[in-house]
Amino acid sequence: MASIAEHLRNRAWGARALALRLESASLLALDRHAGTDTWQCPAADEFFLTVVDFQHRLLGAADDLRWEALRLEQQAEEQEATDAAAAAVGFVGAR
Amino acid sequence: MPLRPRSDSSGQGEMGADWIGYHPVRVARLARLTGEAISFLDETRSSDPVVQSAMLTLREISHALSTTWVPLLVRIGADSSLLAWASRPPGPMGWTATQIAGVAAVLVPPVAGGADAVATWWGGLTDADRAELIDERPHLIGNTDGIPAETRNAANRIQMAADLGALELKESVGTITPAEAQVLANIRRAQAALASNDGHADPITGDAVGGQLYIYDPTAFGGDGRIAIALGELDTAEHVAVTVSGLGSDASTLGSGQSQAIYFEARHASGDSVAVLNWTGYDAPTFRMTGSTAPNMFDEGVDVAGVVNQGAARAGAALLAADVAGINAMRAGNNPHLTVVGNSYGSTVAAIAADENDLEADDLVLTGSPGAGDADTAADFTTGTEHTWAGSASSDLVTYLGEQPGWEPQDAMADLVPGVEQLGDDPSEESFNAQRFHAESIGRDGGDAPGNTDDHGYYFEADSESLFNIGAIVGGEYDLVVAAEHRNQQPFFEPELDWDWTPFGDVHPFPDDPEADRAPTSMTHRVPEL
Repeated sequence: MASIAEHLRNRAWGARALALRLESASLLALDRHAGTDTWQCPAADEFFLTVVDFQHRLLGAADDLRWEALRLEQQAEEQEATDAAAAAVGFVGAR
Repeated sequence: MPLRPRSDSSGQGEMGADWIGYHPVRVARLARLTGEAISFLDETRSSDPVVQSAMLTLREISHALSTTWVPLLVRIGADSSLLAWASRPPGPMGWTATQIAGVAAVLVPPVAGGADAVATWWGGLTDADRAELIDERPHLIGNTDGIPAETRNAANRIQMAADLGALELKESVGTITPAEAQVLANIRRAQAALASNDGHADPITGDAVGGQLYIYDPTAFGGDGRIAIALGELDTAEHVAVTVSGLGSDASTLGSGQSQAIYFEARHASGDSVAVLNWTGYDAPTFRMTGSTAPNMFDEGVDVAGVVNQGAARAGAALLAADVAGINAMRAGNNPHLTVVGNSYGSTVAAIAADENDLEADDLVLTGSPGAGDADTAADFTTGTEHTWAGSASSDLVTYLGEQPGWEPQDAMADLVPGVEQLGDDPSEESFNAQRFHAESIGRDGGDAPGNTDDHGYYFEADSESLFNIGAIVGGEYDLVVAAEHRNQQPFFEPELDWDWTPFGDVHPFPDDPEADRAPTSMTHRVPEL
């Protein structure tokens, strides 16, 4: 059975993997195909701005995921320290 | 010189909302790439709470792109009338106003502002502009919310006739591709359903009711098609029902029988004008094995295992809610009493729409439901407990697939088969707090609950309890609905105190259904002729 620290590290890994996936989204290249050589009209302008906004939101979400991963890893470290301390106390007690 | 709106003959207008210059091939590519971007976002899944904010962002982006932009891009990309423009090479800064002069000014519905903006735009056009759009570019308005249903119907019929002619020509000379043949089959099926509705006589007046081709996109969803056909007049009917079919439904299975059955009972129940829209508007799982056309989920369990989950229902729910909102926007100021009737997997679609997509329905009917999405009770729905209705025959096995307190068979299935996910709570359970109505199958086999799969297919049978009650609800005659006792789940495991009989106790995998003890009846709102 995985320890709490391992569980937290797995979740951090999952968050980082998701961040990487978001950064490879094809949405991030969509603006290259939405320029004036494709179409020109108010809707085209709005679409371009919408796509750029979505790209920023996607990259922002990836950043947030990395912060969450970092937070989970810090919790894992704290948990490992707690576990180590508890193990040491148990060892002394057993002696 | 900037491009100007076609309708602006004064020369004073700046870049308005109703002009466009575009390269058809590149816009079609942009539509495809946008679709791929949406698929990527939709396929990104995680249940970890720390990533839910990111998942919400993905869902919002996906929803905005798929409901607003992809339909517009697809419509524009399909406009072959401007192919001449595509033959001109763009300059280093793209297409110049000079290059596109003379072919660039085309009337298109506004993108921003939704159906209300479209309705305003449509109302401001001249009769000549409207006629030209219907005749020359029907694909730009045929599926656009905010355009009157009768106009959409006219445009879509023109588009359908053109598609039919082109594909039948290819078929006759032997150059039709398999994909085109599937589209042609979709169109023929839609044409037959429409013709049946066109000639359908009103059961009270005897006059022809007429059909409306409200949504027409026979190529959507990889060739499954997205089509909605109405019986009656969506622009004026006092009662409108939108039906959502389940597993195996697509344009190739379109029919008119269900609409006509609901129309019949709703008309007799209320005496008011009625329209029933057969909405095949989402990508329902179809379970076709290679080389097979049989949509039988029970014979094709392996395929089912790969697709039975809430994913398709969730995507369908967003489309359903948007289309229902479109009907209400079209009827602004004269809103109909609107009922959404979801059957089988379609009930899951409708339930999710009412729970998560602000479905603008007055009543929600869930028949033969394998689960009501993530809602815990009918109070989670926009229709609330008073106007959420459940019809579940005690002998319909599918209705026992929903989660029960203490026993979740689909969870158990999910543990065994990757890709299978529970579809939600059983809406006929007492704890769900929906209005359950009599819906026993007339010819049920008399076996004990949970019964069989045959009785999953009789909710719209003539003179059945279920159709009687659906007709009353659609017609707004709630007093005529015959209420049924709810199902009750006993504890999954009940220790047996009678040790002489068994040392293990009783196991109750399925809920008790009081309806199983009642003899089915035959019912109709039609008053017999003397």
